[in-house]
Amino acid sequence: MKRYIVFLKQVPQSTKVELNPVTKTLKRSSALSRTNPDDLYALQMALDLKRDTAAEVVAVSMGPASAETVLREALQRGADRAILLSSPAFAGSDTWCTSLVLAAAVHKIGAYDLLFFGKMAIDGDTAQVGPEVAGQLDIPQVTCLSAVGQLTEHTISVSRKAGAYLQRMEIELPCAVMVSRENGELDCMTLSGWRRAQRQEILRWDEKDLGIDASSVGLYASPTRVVSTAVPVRKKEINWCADAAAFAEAIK
Amino acid sequence: MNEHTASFALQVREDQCIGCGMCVDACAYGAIRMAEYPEIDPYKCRLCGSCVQACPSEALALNEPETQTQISGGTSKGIWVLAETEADGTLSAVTKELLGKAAVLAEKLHQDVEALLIGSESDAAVSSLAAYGAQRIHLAGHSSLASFIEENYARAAVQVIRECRPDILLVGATPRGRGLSARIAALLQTGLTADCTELDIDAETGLLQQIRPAFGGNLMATIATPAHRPQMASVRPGVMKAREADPALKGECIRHDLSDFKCDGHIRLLDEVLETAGGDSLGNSRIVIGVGRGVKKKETVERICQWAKRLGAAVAGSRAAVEAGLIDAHLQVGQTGQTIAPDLYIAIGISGQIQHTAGIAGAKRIIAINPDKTAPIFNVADYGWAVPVEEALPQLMAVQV
Repeated sequence: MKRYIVFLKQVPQSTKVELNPVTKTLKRSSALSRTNPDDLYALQMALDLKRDTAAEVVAVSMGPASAETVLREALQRGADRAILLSSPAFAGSDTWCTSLVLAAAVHKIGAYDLLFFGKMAIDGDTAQVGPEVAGQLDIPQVTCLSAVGQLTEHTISVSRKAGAYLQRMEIELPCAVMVSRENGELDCMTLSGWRRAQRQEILRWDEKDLGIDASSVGLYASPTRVVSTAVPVRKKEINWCADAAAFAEAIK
Repeated sequence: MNEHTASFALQVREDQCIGCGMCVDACAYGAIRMAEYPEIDPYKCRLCGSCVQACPSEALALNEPETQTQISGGTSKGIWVLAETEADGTLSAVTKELLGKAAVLAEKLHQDVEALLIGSESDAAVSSLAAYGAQRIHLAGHSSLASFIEENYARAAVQVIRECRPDILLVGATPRGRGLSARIAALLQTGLTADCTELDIDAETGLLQQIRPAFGGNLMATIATPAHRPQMASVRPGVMKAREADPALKGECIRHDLSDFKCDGHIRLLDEVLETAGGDSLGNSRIVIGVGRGVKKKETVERICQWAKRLGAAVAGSRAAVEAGLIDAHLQVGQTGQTIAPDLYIAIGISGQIQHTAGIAGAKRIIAINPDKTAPIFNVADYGWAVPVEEALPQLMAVQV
């Protein structure tokens, strides 16, 4: 039986955060609350492939305790089991350290065939974690996915965009696939799925479970460091148009 | 205090706390609760440092462990640009732009601008790399690098980078550059900052300051890579300025020996076909009209399309417009969509989240229509018209253009 591991991230409902213009502090809490949209398409692809091949779909999320809701949603949608990677030691991890934790989780889960990631998270917008996990595990990475073709015992065929080219490839398993909303349609959630998910247990692993040293992850192990933040300076002076005539003049 | 909070990197100095609660307001993650002193939930805290900055009495501190920041000898040298080429072998615009920025950084660091060109060696690309400012051009050619395959390009890049140890590596944040740069960073165990909008050198430390939007563009974060090399950053096309090409400039060419290079045996390229650009290609349009969620109705989009036809403009959309079903996904402009650099960009009903504005940074002139005068789109616009879309449109249709 095959095993597909899907990674899901909990992100804020809105990426809009208002600033108090006087104190320069954030006005509204950007509380984490929903599953990153692309990640749901990644899960969907794993579930679709499971229909054709006997497989176990494992949902994994790294984040605070609240990320359990993301995993609960994954279980409702049909994931077979779910694992939350959570520890204060992980806080402040940049993409490299995050990838280290995810790669360690993959090792602990054991044999696997496909890793599925959403192409990009709406809060960080880096599109880096999937390829970095693939790089750390030294397995192929399918970015800019166009379509998934046949899946055999040892290979998967895909078509992907590489600049101006459309490439068809056959890739040996295991490999990592980055998925976005262009790659499919989400199934509706069902009541029976909800019922099943309520009974399922979500495993929780920290750095000890993963066998990684607390000092190798988190803020201070991360290669990149936020050294300061500032309110963006407006570079342009805006000209306001009073009416359509002024606007028409502006676009000339 | 339990074992977790005691060892947590963010600490409260209770003797300095004045109990003002500004840290609570500053926290975007709701991780701070105000009791007598701030209480930090280590499972929610992302160690972003906002509270440390907001605290007026320096009662919050991010404690650095002492074992940190040992720069490995300072032997790394050179500002490198990972070159990207088009299907016809010519140099991509983003590579020229990165070379322009690299020259500014190189001057401050008294280092050289160097370029790494992987794949088949094209004369056109080599000579324009030199003309746009590369003093040294590293060529990594091999028969198995004729087609762009991320895993193989990453391997070749890593081999050359390990040998030459550049201080900085700049990459274009293009569909190809994104996945490739992330894999290179993973293999080299170094940091990578995506989508930088500005790059500079810290005068004191000599570190590359990688400036990128955070929190939906409401804040600009300055990111550094203190100890790992190279310092990697990606930049979107159209963000930096290329220097004028000087054909008289000649770069030194270094051909790296990849004779023992092995491509990734797990990947077989069956075939590749050049995709012909669609008729509605946004990249070639001089005028682009962007539709946002504020347009609300599909009928309004259709009327905008008619108006666009008269203007000779292409119509694109923000992610919000795509999610609302107003615009096709392939016409999305922004961080998750295309990057465009038209002469004129007309934003209609677009709020101007960084997700969108990152894709239009290269537009020469931006004109925005939005009823909310405080919408962030007006921060990047040259001209603004604060009016509801449905009121503006009939008036625009009436104007002779």
